[in-house]
Amino acid sequence: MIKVNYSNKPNTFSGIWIPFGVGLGFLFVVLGIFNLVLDNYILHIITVIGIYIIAATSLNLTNGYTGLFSLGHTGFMLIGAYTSVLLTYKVSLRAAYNLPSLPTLLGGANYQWPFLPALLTGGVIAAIVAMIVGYPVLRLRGHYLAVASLGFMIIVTTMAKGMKSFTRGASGIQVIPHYSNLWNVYIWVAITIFVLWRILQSAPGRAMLAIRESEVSAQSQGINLMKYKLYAFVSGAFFAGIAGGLYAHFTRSIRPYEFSFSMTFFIVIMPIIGGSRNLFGPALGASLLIAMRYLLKPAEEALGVYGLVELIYAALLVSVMLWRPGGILGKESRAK
Amino acid sequence: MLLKIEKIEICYGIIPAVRNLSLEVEEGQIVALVGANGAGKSTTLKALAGVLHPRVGKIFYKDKDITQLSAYRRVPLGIALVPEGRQLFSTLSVKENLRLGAYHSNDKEFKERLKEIYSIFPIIKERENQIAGTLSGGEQQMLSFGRAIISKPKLLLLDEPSLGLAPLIIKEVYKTINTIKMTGITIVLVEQNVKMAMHIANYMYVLEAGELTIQGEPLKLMKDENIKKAYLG
Repeated sequence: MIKVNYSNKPNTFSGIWIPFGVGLGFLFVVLGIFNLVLDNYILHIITVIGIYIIAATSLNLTNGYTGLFSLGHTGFMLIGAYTSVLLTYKVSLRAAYNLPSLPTLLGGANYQWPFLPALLTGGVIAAIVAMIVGYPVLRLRGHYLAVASLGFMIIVTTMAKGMKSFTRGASGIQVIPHYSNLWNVYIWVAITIFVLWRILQSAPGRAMLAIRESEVSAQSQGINLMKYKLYAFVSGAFFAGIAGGLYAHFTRSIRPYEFSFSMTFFIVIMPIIGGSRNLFGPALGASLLIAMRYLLKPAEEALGVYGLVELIYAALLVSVMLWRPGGILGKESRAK
Repeated sequence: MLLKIEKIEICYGIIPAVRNLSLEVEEGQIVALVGANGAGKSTTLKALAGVLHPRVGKIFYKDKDITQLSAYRRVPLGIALVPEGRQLFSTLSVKENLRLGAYHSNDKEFKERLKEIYSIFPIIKERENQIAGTLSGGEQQMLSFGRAIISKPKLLLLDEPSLGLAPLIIKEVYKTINTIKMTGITIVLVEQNVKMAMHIANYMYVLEAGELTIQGEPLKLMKDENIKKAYLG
């Protein structure tokens, strides 16, 4: 459970930066050591974990802290992925892959965007879409919201399949520049966790917790429900867009259906398994699940039981719900 | 006149829950809305808090039309709701619940208000760092009062404060309501427990199937044979 900060003002400068700086330093020292001693395959897995940490942690802002159970997160990842890829795609390959040149406004036919602005644009577009979609959809609650956001995910993947002149449809986009690496992925992991931490410590974070606990009570304490639901949803979508962009420039190939049910299932259960009321719970869930996927792949192939990983995920999910309902990092005592 | 309702009709979908209801609340009074299950008492209270909005009619607060004003905008005007069944932020601590009640105040104001709340509800102070959901029913009710009046309301809306509490605790709760009244807060009380409501209210409205049937001062109503039969047994 996150502690509510009793202050309206942010903590003092040193109060924020010292713990964050120490954590950040520690993270990058560890990553530096990993980079020296571990082989490329393991570093690849660690980078994938980082991307899923961003996705799962940002999803938890709505699903865990605000109590809005959204299944549309991968839709925003898709938007971020395609937007950034269309901007960074190599000019010489555009014609060969039947992808349009950039319009003059975005740099023209002979311009290829640098990675960071393209990535940020992907995040911003995802956030704008979240604002437009969120306004009607966030009026819904519980299962209704889950179904509506799932519908959004399906609409987005279908559109990505259908808009062939932009996305090459179901065949997807390949030979994407390899821009994501261990370092920039983990810089974004740090940014995501830092921003979420700051949000949760502020008055808006307090409002989100109140909305999760009781909407009637929250609005009768003077909290504008729609404003703070949108705040959570849009911030989450921005980081989903970033995660999508990092993912695309890491795997170097994207197809619309990659961002569909199976990925949704993974990132939705990551916070639940890791602990959705703890800032680091989703990160733990992401690390566990992704590490298991790579570890069990050889077993799956050796035994010829494909889908074994999903079965184990599902069993793990059920066990966590039964014996540690708050997740691995959650508090055991559950207040009624 | 602090509050005035003019001929409101409130619907759930197409089904009207309250019809043609008018009532007035004088400053400093306790006004009780009583009636059986489904009479429309809580619905009316929710319309006063802004959680629901009437389809027809007007609500005036301090002569200002607030009929369509959202709930969160009514709080700064001085209207606070204690919802049915408390609806505490049950996984947060007692102090965190109070902090959320004082959502619009800054740190300094909150600290001052906290002292006042603790002096009215000493039980809450003892439980300051406990998780709200682990309090007893009576303590939870006190906390939900505290959470509502920490925002310094002028009008407090109480939805069935005796719900699910033991008779002794109910007495405690009603003592507290009286204490709150003494601090100058006007109270609209929705209650099924007509006896308790009669003891405390200055004026009473009786609702039946969404319509106002009887109104008057409790002392006078108590003498009415029909009411005695219908509500006091």
